[in-house]
Amino acid sequence: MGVLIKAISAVVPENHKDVVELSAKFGETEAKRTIKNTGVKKRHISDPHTTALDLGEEACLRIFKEKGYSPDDFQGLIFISQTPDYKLPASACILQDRLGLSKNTIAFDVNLGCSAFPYGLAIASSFINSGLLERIFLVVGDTLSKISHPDDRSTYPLFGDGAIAVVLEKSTQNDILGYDFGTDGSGWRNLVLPIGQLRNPDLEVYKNFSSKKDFEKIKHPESIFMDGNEIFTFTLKEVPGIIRRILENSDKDKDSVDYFLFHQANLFILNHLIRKAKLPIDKCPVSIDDYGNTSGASPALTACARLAEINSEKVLTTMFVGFGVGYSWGGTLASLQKNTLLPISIYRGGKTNGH
Amino acid sequence: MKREEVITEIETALNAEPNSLTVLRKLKEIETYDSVGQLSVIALFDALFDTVIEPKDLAECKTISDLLNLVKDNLS
Repeated sequence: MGVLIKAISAVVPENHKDVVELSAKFGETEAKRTIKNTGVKKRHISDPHTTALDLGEEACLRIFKEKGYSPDDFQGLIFISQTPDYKLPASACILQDRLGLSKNTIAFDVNLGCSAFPYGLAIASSFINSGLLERIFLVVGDTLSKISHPDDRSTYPLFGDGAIAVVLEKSTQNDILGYDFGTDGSGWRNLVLPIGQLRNPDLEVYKNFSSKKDFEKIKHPESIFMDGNEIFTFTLKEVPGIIRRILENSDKDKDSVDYFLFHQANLFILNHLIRKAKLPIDKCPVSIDDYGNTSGASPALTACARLAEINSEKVLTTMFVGFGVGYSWGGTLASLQKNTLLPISIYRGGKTNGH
Repeated sequence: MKREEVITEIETALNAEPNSLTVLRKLKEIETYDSVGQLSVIALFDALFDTVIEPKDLAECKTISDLLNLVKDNLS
């Protein structure tokens, strides 16, 4: 038994911000310097009423429309996000209803960020390989712009919003060729949003009861915090090993991979990583310039943004690599059959709060 | 690698003027030694010496000499 990746779609919100907005905020010199280092020339930002769930729904609807699937074709739905609509219920349950999937659907959320895509492929494939499901939606999306502090120059100019949806289905063939995963929870303090869940439900509890040692570098505890030096160091230590192990375990070499699709962390990190891993730059597409760092969606979003046209003509062997918050990391070697990738589409809804 | 050569590489990484940095130069006086500059030093040492320096060690550095000490085993 095997698993085919039948379709991947990506959706970003219509609104975007660019150098003009950044210059007005930080000054032209600082804006240009930030853009040079992050690589983010433009990033799509959801309006106040649009969430990752809305973007994920649109990504699924796009697949219905382009690939001819209907809601009854699916028995499973996995939604991976760190910016869900509610603490409870799971966004996957809401999405099951909105998409009109059967009540027999297995639907649940997973809380992962930058490593979400390889994890999602592995979880979805496991359900199919176990014989429990025949076809499943994997949805990965985040709206990190909503949790970035406007005065934080390490996060605000970096993050964009977006979601991807994937259809995986049972087959005698197999598109999933290899995996590698890892976790180092000792790095959790370096990419964290301290306030808003049950450890620190509000600023008062945070100030009075949280461990000062855990959060000593944080200026805006109600927004996402990232220690750039620590994240970069972690990336240099762990990511080259992901690539090496996947190739070794699947008996492949770098030449047999058409494209390496990395989490779009920031351009400085990506360029150094590509050099360190000794990969040809033309095999490592980048989308951070047009979409920013879109968290867990970014490897697949990059594929849709940069490879959809090429994939319309040929099968691609791809390696997806995600790494970051947790620390958590993962990689997947996968074949993308012709016309698996749909070009990125724009979400133009979101004018009302909810559906 | 000679210390002078590494200093030249640091100047390039930090977009500093050639021959503007000395071992005694204080890092806080270097305009481009900000968060991006620190990433550049981490990347530089990794590229030159295949050594990933720890951010906490970097944070304790006050001068160019302190930076060189992080990779002293690779210096001649």
